[in-house]
Amino acid sequence: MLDWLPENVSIFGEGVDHLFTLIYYITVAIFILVNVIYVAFIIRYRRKRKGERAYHYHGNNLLEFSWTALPFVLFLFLAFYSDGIWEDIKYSDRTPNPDLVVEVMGQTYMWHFRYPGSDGIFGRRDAKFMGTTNPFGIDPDDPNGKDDYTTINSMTIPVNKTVLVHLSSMDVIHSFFLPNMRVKQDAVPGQWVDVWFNSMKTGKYEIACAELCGSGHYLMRAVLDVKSQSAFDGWIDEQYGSQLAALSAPAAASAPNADASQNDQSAPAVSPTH
Amino acid sequence: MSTLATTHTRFGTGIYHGKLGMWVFLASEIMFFSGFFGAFIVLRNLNIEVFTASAHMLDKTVATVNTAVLITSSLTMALAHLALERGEQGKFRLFLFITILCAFGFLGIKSFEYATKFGHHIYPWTNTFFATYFTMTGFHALHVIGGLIPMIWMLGKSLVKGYPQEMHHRVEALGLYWHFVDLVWIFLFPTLYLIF
Amino acid sequence: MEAVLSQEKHAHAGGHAHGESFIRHYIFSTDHKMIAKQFMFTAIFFLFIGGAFALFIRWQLAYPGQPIPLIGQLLPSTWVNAQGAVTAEWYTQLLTMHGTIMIFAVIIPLLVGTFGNFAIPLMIGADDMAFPFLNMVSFWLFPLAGVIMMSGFLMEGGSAAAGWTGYPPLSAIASTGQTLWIVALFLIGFSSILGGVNYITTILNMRAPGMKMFDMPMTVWAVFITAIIITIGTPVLAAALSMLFMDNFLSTSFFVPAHLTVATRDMSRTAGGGQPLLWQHLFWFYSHPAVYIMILPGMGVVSDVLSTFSRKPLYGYKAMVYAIIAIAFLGIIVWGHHMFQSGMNPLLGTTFMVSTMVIAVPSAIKTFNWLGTMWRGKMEFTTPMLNAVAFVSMFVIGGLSGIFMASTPVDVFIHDTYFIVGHIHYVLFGGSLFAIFAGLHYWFPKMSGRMYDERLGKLHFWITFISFNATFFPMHILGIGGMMRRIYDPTVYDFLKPFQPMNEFITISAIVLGFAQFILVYNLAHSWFYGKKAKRNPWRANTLEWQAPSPPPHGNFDTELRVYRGPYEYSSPESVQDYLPQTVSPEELLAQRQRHEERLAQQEHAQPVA
Ligand code: HEA
Ligand code: HEA
Ligand code: CUA
Ligand SMILES: [Cu+2]
Repeated sequence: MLDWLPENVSIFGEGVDHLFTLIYYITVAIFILVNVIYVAFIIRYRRKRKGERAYHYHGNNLLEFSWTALPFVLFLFLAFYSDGIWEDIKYSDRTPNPDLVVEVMGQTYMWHFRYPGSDGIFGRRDAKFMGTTNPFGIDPDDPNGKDDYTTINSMTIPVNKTVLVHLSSMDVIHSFFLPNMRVKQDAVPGQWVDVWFNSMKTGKYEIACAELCGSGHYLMRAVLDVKSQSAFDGWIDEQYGSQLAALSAPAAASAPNADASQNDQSAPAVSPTH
Repeated sequence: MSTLATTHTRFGTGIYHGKLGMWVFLASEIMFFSGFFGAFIVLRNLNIEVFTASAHMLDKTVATVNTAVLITSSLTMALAHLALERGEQGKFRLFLFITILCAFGFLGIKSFEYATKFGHHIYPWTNTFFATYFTMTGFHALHVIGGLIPMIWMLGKSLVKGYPQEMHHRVEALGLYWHFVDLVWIFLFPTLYLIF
Repeated sequence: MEAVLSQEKHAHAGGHAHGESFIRHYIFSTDHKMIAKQFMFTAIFFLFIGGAFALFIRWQLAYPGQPIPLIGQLLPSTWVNAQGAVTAEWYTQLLTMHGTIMIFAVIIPLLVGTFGNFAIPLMIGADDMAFPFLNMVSFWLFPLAGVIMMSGFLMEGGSAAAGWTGYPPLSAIASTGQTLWIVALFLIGFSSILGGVNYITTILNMRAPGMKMFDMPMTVWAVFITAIIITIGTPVLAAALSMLFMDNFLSTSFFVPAHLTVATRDMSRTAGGGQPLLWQHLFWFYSHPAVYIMILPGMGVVSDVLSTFSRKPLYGYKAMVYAIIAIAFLGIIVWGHHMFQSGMNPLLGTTFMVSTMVIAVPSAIKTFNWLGTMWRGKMEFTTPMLNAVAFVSMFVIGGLSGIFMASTPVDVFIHDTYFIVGHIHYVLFGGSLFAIFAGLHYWFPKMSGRMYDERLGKLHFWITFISFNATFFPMHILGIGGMMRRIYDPTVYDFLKPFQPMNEFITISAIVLGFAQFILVYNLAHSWFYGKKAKRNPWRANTLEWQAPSPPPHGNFDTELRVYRGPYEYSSPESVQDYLPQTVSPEELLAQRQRHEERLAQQEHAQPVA
């Protein structure tokens, strides 16, 4: 049954799959054990003649104790075993040093991605600047933010590098789901959460939204493009090129509140609300 | 079947159904208000400045008076039950009447407070503090009204044909409820008005 | 004592069989048996509504965007598009209402409303509930809430559409339908609390003379503990709903953080500062215990049925009681396992994982004790027994899939996928609903005074059992494949396209499953009027309800009851029969044995050995 799992390409995904397999075997074993006994009883202990009597018996404390203690031990073991992997995935003090930080913002029904730009520093953001044209709320006066660039529904990362995602939402709760990376994390408005992962393989993967966010929930799909380091560098240069071109264009400068870096091909036209 | 004794005379715990049921119901009421108090704590820690500033806009004097009014009503409610138990219908009526008066007094003062707030353009949606303030005190006020209705009914009945003395356990159960409403206020008052 | 007398008067004013009006008897009845039937009819009605919604959902998932056969064109244009296919908006409303109705208007009313009401007074030997009038109010709040909730479909923007979990901000910025949903749940909650108060008081106060707490049948124990969970948990949901109502209706900000950018709604009046996760904590603080509200009474019924038809004492009765108490207690501290990926502190994830794992232990105790009950029994496979046997096996599957989700790292992947949907239906349908089927058939003779048709009962069981597994087992595979729940069209995603044949298979099975329920309804409805007349104690069971006439008259019992022993003395060597009712006194038992021995001796005389 586990063959149905989507291909895993991330490092901690191996831990998740390993645990998945372990629990799978344990539960299947228990299921078989219980049901074999069960079916045997059903066959063996039918009433065949009228007036037949069953064994008058109320129970056995030793048995009672052992089938309390055994599962207890087993479940505690599972809990502690799971916890090790859980801590690796989610505890912030276990997160490896990131090679790339990307901010991700959910909006009904799309994903925004923000890269720090050539200076490697994110511009200051403030919730009060947030709007449909400026999903991250980038402070227009902060020079560090000038070269930040954002994309919609497409995320590009280098292979074999630790990526730290800084996640939030600007309206309702979404959930950032990367099936192949075994990543899932809710994006909660008003709150930033960190998730990290790395991909061991290049290629295009799907990003989904896993939390009901409205009737278009099923459409909230993005693409994750894992490139080799050199291809990634090339891609970055290309982005910076168009970025710089856009920046030097006078039109962009005269629109202070507009997001300075809408440069993604797939971006749908978003009309400002104010 | 009519020869059988009704099982409604069984009191396995030695407590009347009404009283036992009321205790259970109050346990659930405690959980109801705990939900609000829990939310209050979380939201306060999230917005300490807003909460402090807003709480200072509340009128402590009026609320203190109101606390006194409600505590008085709790006392007279207990006295009313005692009077009925002893068969003193006159006293029962009097104390019940005072309780009702106090309850109306409390609601009156509360409405005055609300009205002043609205006058200053303060509404539940003004900020998170006032959202909690209006919701918690509003639900408390609803509980006061919920107590008032049976009280008025009892008083009316006792004026028309005398309230049956053997129904004193109903008055007792209502009294329990009333003390609980009082108690909730005693928690609400410091939480909303005083701790900031 | 006068007080007692006046109460008695009050109780008897509650609707006597003689000369009472139709309305008093059938509509505003205060008789616990009539109220149980009212709960049953209303809930089965809602089962078909909620089930029909599920079939629409299934149709869309298997054949995305294709018109609904036969009736697609007849549905209003706010629900379906021009071709008669489900729209994305309606799909979201359907899944929300499906979940809400099934949980709040089907399972809880059937287990708690129907069985609680019917079984408690009869099984403890009382003539009615402690508060018959409250009982009636508790029932009537339920259809009222149902109407309010369903009327959302007629509102602009449709019904509630934020899932049965109603997570804000989505639910806080939604349509009128969502507001109605909140109001309806509040009313249902209030109805539950009134019921809970009534059950607790009745069980504590009104047991027949001689009946100690540990002489109560498991059904009564389970409903008792359930009632405690209800009275403790439901008010928290009520508080949360009140706050959500304020957010939804008055634009306050309990659950809505600052600076939301919402296209469909002007957020300028909302002054921010709320916390979306606060709702989730409050909601699950109720709704996790609520899943045990939906399984414990089922476990109680199944324990009674298994013991009766195995003709054997319930194995480890006390352990079973303690296990229920443990589940209830632990159930209050595991709510966070629904929030592992919600963005709460991962440290909390660790603690909630440990408590969740531990809660599986009492469930294990129950499972093994059921096996023990059957061991060396003499089982009779009547319809209630078949359903009860299926319950145990299906509950184990549902419970074991819970272990995957309890393990936080695995939950990262399977959270909000069809693996969860599979789990839900194994515990709620395979568990609760099979227990309900068992109970409905088991008490049918007592309720109606007639026997159901055993052949139809078995037919219904087998079709349901097989198509149930065919419907819901593959959902685990979909979940492992990563298919998200609550999506309108899985084919949008490349990685889900290969699963489409499986979705079609599920849908076909679901249709079979749905239509099989008509057998149940036909069987019960037909037998209600034309079935064979039932004896007092057709199952030869020990518990008190079988001492009353079938159906019991107003006031229930025609003999004075006294309880001498526990409810599970089947095949006791003390008795001449293979059962020993709780009410048989030791003297009577002795007399029975003497008579029996005399008869044996006479027989020996009559036929001397050759
Ligand atoms: C009747 C209802 C019911 C019941 C009884 C349960 C029982 C359990 N549930 Fe379930 N649950 C739901 C109804 C129920 N659940 C619903 C409706 C949801 C979805 C809500 C939503 O999001 O819409 C949900 C979701 C849910 C989640 C959240 C998943 C997610 O959203 O990511 C989790 C996580 O831990 C969970 C766990 C469990 C566990 C551990 C049990 C345990 O109690 C199970 C214990 C039983 C067993 C384990 C089997 C028997 C034991 C044995 C045979 C012995 C084994 C022996 C040895 C190991 C030696 N459930
Ligand atoms: C006890 C509870 C219960 C029961 C019995 C069921 C029964 C069924 N459920 Fe449901 N389900 C839930 C509780 C339940 N469900 C919950 C809590 C959710 C989560 C909701 C959420 O995400 O918020 C859920 C979600 C859910 C989903 C996921 C939706 C999504 O995430 O997008 C699906 C999908 O297949 C589904 C299917 C079914 C099916 C096929 C049945 C079948 O068993 C139904 C069988 C059908 C009938 C009994 C009725 C038959 C009626 C007719 C034959 C009449 C036909 C007439 C017309 C069509 C006009 N359910
Ligand atoms: Cu965003 Cu679902
Ligand atoms: Cu749970």
